[in-house]
Amino acid sequence: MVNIIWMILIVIGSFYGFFTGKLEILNNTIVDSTKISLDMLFKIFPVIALWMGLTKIAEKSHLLEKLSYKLSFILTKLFPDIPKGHEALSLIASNMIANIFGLGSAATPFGLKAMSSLQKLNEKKDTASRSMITFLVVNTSGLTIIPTTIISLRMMYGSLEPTKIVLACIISTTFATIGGIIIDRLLARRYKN
Amino acid sequence: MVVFIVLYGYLKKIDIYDTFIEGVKESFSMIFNLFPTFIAMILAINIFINSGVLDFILNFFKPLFALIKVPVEVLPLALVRPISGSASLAYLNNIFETKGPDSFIGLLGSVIQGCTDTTFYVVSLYFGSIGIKKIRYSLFASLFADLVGIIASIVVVNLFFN
Repeated sequence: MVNIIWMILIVIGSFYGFFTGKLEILNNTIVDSTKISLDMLFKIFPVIALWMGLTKIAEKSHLLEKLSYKLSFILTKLFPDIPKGHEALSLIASNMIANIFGLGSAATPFGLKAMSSLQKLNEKKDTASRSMITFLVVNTSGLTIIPTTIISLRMMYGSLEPTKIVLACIISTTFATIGGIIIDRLLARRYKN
Repeated sequence: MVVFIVLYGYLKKIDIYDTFIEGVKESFSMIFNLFPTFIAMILAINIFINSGVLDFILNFFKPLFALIKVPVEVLPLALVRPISGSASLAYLNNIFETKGPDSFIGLLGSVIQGCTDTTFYVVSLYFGSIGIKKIRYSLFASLFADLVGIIASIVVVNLFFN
């Protein structure tokens, strides 16, 4: 699957660029992209390092367990494959909490840790497990209640009511999450057979 | 949040400093695992965007959007959003600058940006970090959730602000 997407993006892009005479731009893009990826990595590295440090504290002080206990009712319904009380559940809970408050950069390290924890439960190491997919779907469906980045951007451009969009965001994101969970459930059942 | 976690750890009598260092150490191996995925995905995404294919697709969908009375300006945002967070933020910036953040398009753009995520990026990042190649139906399901979010934003913003 990744192979196909990767190939499609590169092949279609290159052919289109070639036939519209953008070869030079393409060449520059190819050379620059490694530099851009390194830049991005350096941008997220400090954030990940900081939050991984803090997560460790939250983990050892049983703060994560406590938080996930509050969410555990929903989470066990969402992730039937994860054994109760497994660390993956508390990491997923932390990721969701960070996402809900619009702390996207704080959510990523929790998410990555949750994934490696789910990988320990996974039987086929090169294939995504059902729990992983559910987690990703919930994660990418937005889940934001306070979209901090957008509110600050709106303020920057002199919006009279920067928070006007919050309720609309919550409603739309709820629909997105529910829609995602439903399709995930349906597909999980289909793929099982 | 930072203060809270540190204080909580201290009150629970944990060696907070060493624990913090231990956690940071773990981040190195994580970053090390991420780098190859990063290079691969950014290369492909940039070729796709810079070649102009994206603009071509946008022009193709324009008449369809006019039909359902959605301003075409949000289309690039909706299409780019799952691929690149910074690119979609740049579009939103552009919309705010030309139409204003409180215009209908500005509001719709804000809500779309808020209720979706950079799905391609997250999927490749999360699976890349643990070396999963067969991602099964995950991308389809995630993109479906984004689509539901975008449709919901259009409906909700129309109801609220029109």
